This record gives sequence, C-alpha cells and structure tokens, in this order.
Amino acid sequence: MKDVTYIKQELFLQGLPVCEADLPYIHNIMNTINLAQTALISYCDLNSVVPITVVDKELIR
Amino acid sequence: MNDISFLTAAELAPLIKTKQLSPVELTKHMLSRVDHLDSTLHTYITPLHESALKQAREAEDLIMQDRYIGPLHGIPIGIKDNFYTKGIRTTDGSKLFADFIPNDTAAAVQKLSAAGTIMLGKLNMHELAAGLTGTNPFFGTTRNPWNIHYMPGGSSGGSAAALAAGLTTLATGTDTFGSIRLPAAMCGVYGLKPTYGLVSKYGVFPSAWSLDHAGPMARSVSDLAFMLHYMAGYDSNDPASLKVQIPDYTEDLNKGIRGIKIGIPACYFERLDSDVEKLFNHAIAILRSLGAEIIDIVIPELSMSTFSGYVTVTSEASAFHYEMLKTRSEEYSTDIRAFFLSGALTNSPQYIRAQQARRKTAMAMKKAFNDVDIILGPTIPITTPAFHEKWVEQNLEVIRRCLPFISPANLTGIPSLSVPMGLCSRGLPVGMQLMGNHLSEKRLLQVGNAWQSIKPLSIRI
Repeated sequence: MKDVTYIKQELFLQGLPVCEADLPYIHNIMNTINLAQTALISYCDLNSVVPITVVDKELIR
Repeated sequence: MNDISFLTAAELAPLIKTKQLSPVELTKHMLSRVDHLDSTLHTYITPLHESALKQAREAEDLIMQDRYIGPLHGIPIGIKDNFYTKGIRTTDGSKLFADFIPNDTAAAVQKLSAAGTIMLGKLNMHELAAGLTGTNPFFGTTRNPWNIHYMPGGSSGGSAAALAAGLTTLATGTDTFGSIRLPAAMCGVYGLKPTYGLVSKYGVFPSAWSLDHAGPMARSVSDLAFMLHYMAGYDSNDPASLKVQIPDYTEDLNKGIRGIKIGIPACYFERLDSDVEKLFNHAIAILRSLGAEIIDIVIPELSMSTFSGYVTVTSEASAFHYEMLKTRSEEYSTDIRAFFLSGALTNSPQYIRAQQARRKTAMAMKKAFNDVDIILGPTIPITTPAFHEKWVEQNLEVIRRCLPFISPANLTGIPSLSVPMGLCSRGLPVGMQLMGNHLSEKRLLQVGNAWQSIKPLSIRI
C-alpha cells in the first residue's frame, strides 16, 4: 500500500501539485488499484502474453 | 401527432419527408423546450439557437425542392462537448478549455451533419469525460429528468438527460469506461459503444487513447442504427480507424432473437443492488420467453478488469494532462485531479501488466463468443444514486462499484449496447448491456430491437 507520505514525495519529485485535500482520495484510488492487482496472481502465465500496445498500422506500411 | 419532443428519428423522418412536419418548426419547438427546462436540468453547455435555425431553414429548403437526403434529414441532434466543432466553443466540460474554439470539426460530427442533422447545441458532460456522476462545478451539474435529485450518470450525462427530457432527438457520446452506457442506463435511453476503431475519434478530446470510443445515443434502437450507419467508417485521420466493410445496420432490425445464444458470466450476478438483481432476473426470463437460449458461462479473466481498467485509464489520462497538471492544477476539480494524479503514481510495469491482462481478457472473451452470440449483464450493479453533498467521494465510489461491469468492453474493444431494463422501486431507470464479438453491432442492434419491443420502461418492481 502506498502511504500518504510516499504519495506526497512522489508527486513532489515529479513536479506535480501536492494538495493536502487530494491526498486521501489519491490514497484511496491507489489502494483500490493495489487490491485489484491481486487478481493477477492467479495468472502466473501472464508473461507469455504480449501486452496490447498501440499499433499504428499507418506507420509500418 | 404525438408530442414531437419525444418522437424518435424513425418516427419523425416520414413526417419530414412528406412535408407534414417542417424542420424549422421542429427545431424551434426543441429550442423552446431547452429554453424552458434547461435552467433546471443543465443538459447543454452551449445551445446554438441561431446556427440551428439556419441549418433547419437549409434542410427545409432542400425538402421543398424535393431533395430529401435520408432519414436524418432535419432531425435535431445534441453534440457532447468533447467533439470538436469548427468555430464553436468546445470545452470538454472543463475550465481548462472554457474558451477553446476548434479549427476543425470531429469526423463523426461532420458525417452526421452531412446526413442532414440539425445541431441544437453542445451538451454538458462530466469534466474531461473522466467521471460517472454528471457533476460539473464549472458548467452546472446535469440533473436526471426522472428525478432531479438523482444523478444522470456520466460522462455523457448531458446527452442522456437531454434525450430523456425530450430536449433533443439524437445525441453523440463517448465511452472510455462506460460513459455512453452508464448514463444511458441511469436515464432510461439507449446507448451503443461500438467496436474500437469503428467510429473515427478524429476531433474528439482524448481521455485515454486506447480505451476511448465515440458512439450514438438515442431513445430507440432503430435511431442508434441510423446514427451508426452514418458515423461508422474508415478515417485516415484516426490511426485506430478500422478499414472494414460497413453493413446496413438498419436492415433486418426486426429479425428477432429466436435461437440466439446469450451467455451470462457468473460475475455479473455478484454484488448487485437488490433492485438490479430482481430486474435482471426478470429480464432473463423475458429473453427466454422471446426464444433466446440462456447459458451460464464463466470467464475468470474478467476478474482482472478492475486492475487493467484503473491503471490504463488513470495512466493514459495522466499522460495527456501531465504538463497541465503541473501548471494549471487549480483548474481541475478535486475528483478529476485526484484520479489523474493517481495515474502519475502507477508505475510502468503495472501499466504493461495491465496491457497483458487486457489481451488475456480479450482472448477469453473471444473464446466465449465461440459458444454464445451475446454476453449479457446489468450495465452497472447499482441503482441510480441521489446526489450526495460529498460529490468527490461519490464520484470515486461510483467508479469503484461500476468499473468491473463497464470496463471489460472498453479494455477488449468489443461492442456493448445498453438498453433500459425497467424501473427500480424508486421509479428510476435501470439498464442492461448486450456485448458481442468485434464488429457484431448489427446483431446487437437486432437483439436490442427485439428487447425494446417489450417496452422495458413499463416494467417496474
């Protein structure tokens, strides 16, 4: 879980705004993402899957 | 003649074609309703009285010269305010773009205009198309016409509410994580998120490039078919645009659903509000009685959709807004700023793993479509909430509850049609979504049309 101190530090290092009022919401969203990530544990073969990437067919003609 | 405010395009078209109804008369009628009702509903950001009447007069001139151009000739339409319109303010529902006037018009809008539609105005939306409640502190929060104390959904909340209130006949929408389907469900109208790349996104503000879709919204399935007929097609200005043959979506709409195989993943029965569960079970029974074969299916990979959805949306949106977040952060409302900043905190491996999970989910869905024609579920698991004074928390909570239901179609690029399923015990609409394999819009519309024939908004629990 990413705690509030880490969130503040990370935003600051990227030059992004650190607004105290935003932090609980960001913390909440990051927690939701981290919890949701546990669903991937069941798929140990995930690295055999090529990620979907933006393939612009116009560029490879 | 019934109240023309609520007639569908399919009902209006013959009246216009046979000169029983003038496009000018129709446009004036709709604009006067906007003047009368929109100070409460806030469905439009920029109504376009003058240009709409000019377009209507031009449409009428053509008809008087017996030069009728098709079923959308003279039909009023509202355009969501994230579609560029040349010379007309296009805000993306945001203070950041409050004065932005594009030099070009979105491809989809160009096509609908060429089909003869009359643009009544630019429709309200959740700020930056990044929320699901329809709150907008800058341009006014859109209200649900079924009960103004309840949310219309978002981000295409203005589109759905304007349709439900008879303030337009047709509307455009965009859908990155449910933004066509969720407000359609909450307002009791029809919305289609097409296959990724079927409708050009040229001239549409990006939210998350790999998930963004543009599509039609209307009060009937046949109107969606008319709109998609004109909106779909290859566009060299959109790198994601598909080069495929476009079928006639309006043909065979009454084919019915006898023999259609409908699969319902087990996860679409989980964590439903009790009214949604009751209406969904009722809908399944009706579909069975109409001749569909209902099959229980399991797609475990759908469990990864929440992770993939959150990471992809927040990361891509955060990339688009990265510099503006640094320099103009106070011009975002709190819910959107927090959502986008979260994307700056997810890491590259998480983003790539989300894209691996997406492919795995898409492959699993493809496999499911070997056995069924349609995958069915409630559009969202909740009934429409009343507005809460803590609207930031409320938006983030609605996203959290609804993302597992609405994001799979965006993540995999499959088409999904939201149709009304009935009214909950508080009298507000509830929706269900029909998902099909890539480019199966024609079949989805046929099934949706059969469903519409049972008059779902007359069902109340």
